[in-house]
Amino acid sequence: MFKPYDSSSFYDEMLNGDKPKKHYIPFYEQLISFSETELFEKHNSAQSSFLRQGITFTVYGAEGGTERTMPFDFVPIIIPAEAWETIEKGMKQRVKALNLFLHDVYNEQKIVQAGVVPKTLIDNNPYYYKQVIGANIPLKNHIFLAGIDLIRDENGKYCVLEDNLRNPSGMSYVYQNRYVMRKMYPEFFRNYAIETLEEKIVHMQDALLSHRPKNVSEHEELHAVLLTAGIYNAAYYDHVFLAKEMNITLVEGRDLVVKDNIVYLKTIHGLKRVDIIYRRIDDDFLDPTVFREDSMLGIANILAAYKEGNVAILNAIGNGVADDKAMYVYVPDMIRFYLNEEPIIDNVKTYLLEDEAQREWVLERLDKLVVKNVGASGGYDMLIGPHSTPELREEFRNKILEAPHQYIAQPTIKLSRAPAYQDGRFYPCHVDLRVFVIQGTETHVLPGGLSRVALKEGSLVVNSSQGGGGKDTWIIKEAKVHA
Amino acid sequence: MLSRVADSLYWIGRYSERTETNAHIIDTQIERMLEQSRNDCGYEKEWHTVLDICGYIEVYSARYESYYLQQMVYYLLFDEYNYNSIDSLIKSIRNNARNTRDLIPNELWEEWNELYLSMQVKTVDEEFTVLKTTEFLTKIRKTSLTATGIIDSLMTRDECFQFVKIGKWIERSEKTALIVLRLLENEDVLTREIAVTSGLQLTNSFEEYTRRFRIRTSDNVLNFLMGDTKCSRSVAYGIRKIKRTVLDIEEDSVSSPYAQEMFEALEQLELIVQKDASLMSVEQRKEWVKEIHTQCSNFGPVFARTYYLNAPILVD
Repeated sequence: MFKPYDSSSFYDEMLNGDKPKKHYIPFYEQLISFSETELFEKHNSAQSSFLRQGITFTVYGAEGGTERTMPFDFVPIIIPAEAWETIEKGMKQRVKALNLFLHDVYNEQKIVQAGVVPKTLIDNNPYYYKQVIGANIPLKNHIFLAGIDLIRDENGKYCVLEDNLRNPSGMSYVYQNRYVMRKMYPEFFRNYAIETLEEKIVHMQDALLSHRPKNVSEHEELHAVLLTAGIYNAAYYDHVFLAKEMNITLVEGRDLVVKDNIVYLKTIHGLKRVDIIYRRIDDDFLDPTVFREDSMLGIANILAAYKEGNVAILNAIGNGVADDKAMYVYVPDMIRFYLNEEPIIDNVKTYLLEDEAQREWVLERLDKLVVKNVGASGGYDMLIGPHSTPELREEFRNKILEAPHQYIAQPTIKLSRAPAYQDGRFYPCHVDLRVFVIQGTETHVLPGGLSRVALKEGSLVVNSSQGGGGKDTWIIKEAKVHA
Repeated sequence: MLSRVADSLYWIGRYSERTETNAHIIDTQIERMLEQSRNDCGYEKEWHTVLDICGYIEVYSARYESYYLQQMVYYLLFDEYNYNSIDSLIKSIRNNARNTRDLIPNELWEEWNELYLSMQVKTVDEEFTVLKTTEFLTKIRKTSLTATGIIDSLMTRDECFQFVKIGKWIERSEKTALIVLRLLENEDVLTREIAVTSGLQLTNSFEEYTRRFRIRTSDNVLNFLMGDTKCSRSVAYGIRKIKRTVLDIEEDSVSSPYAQEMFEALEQLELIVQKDASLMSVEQRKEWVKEIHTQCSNFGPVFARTYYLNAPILVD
């Protein structure tokens, strides 16, 4: 049975002292009316529903890959309309600036000339691809889908933790979490009016098809595909989901071929032209004639077709230069530079370790800070100071001294918490929120997004590969709570 | 439709049919065995036939020295080195279904995935008691039959559906021919009466036959299993279904050059299955069925070449 816990040490999404916040009251009242058995049974049915439907991700280990489901926690993150409105504006602003930045770095580089972003940060970035400089990008849009990770600090203030502008995954979980929530816990929806997710997929399909390649005339019907690495890819379910929902063909590299700079699909009746590729494989693997020679996932000569303007590739090639953890520091400046606006949602304070003064300061406080590799993701190569051993800190000190440009540091943020239910009991867990921004001729923000929860008690790592789980995210409609 | 996807759907059709048929054959054999003594000369020979029909006797004998029942059942149900064990087949179906998840009904995926998941946590007791094994086989058959029902009631009649169906009919025709061939080859060991009944039982057409015919003679049964176009397990029925489906895909045109070889193969099969067994000697029957089986086995690659092994043709 749910019992309020001590919520004073961190910002809590649901509780204020030992009382639920106003927008959580109907949920809370429903929650305490359930018996322990009911909760336990519902929880089990919800978990097995993910397994039965094969909504799994692959964890690579010593024995090849094992399939796992991301644990689902039924206590939703509920966000009032006003708070969401700010987030939505903030996300649109940020993605707009990031897109202008990407277009700029692959063209004139005004931001470098203005001295706002150091040139070395671009030139030395492994994800900056000189091969696509000046490429003709439909709508000049480099970011079709972005996943921006938000956190709340101890005062409940939202901050951006990370931008994902390459292949942000997790959108299928947003829909599946809602689906399972509706199926297994319909009672909770009583007394709430929340934003639905359904229509957003239509926007997504429209946004995808708005990327008409330069050489495909207006009256021609566009054929779009989703390029996956295949069934063994960790995010394969995400790919299946998106292809199915947008009604586009799910393809692998071996299904495509380039002839005379045109991309074709190998069908049972011969070759069929492809105009838009929403790819979910990394840049490096896209074209073995230009990038990694050993790539089995890509398509030879696709880059030439892309540069010629015969095919659109989404997200654009080379977006990694903008979502690097070091470049992150400059995003607020990008917003000021390109949009002449102040950032609506702040960054988390970040120290660049290449800077000697900042490095010295950080090295003295490794036990209090979080250190991250600028190129890594998913919680890998990361030091969480307060939870670390002296040996690990020593290891990171050496790593930093050896390649200071490779690391950044941030204060240990007291990530907000929300109750989670596992093994028959409730306890507070840290959460973050991945917000999905879809951009074509218009920009849409998926209402809510993926709330990720660090289910291991006390842990700050929410990534699914590190044992994190997911929660449904509700955005209350203007009408507010009917309670 | 993508060639790779067509390939996966075709194999879903084949493997599903194979799973159902093999489960039925093993189940039938276990039931027949109950009335036999371990010392009956037919006992081991019958199991050899089953191993040959549901897998490969050569592969079995290369790996195992004896013919203990538990070992044979294990080989047929769970051996991961046997590509045709029930366990391997279900893994293959699931992989192919995963590969085409955006095109098949979600219910179909869930059906196979649930069976797969249940096999990960619980397998038949190590003892392989008759009861446990037959319960397990019943479960496998029910899933296969439910999956067929889902395909029939939920799938749009487009190319995806057609490729699944063609896979199923090729598999069935080939299997019927194989079962009859192996029984004919063993006729010196099995009595003719047993071979005839086995043929009907193993192809799961015993009920169908007895509803329509009173006399059970070997030439009648042979004609029934090879050439009867109403018998849902006969080679002729399967070939007819394949031809109609392929004509649908080709929009009733048999003239496309790339499909020529496939249509010729189908026509040859249609002709050969219509011969009359009552006019043949024992040797001739064996040769006849052997030829049908060879042509059925060769048809799969011809079909594959027609739709996805050839380099695709540029469409204007």
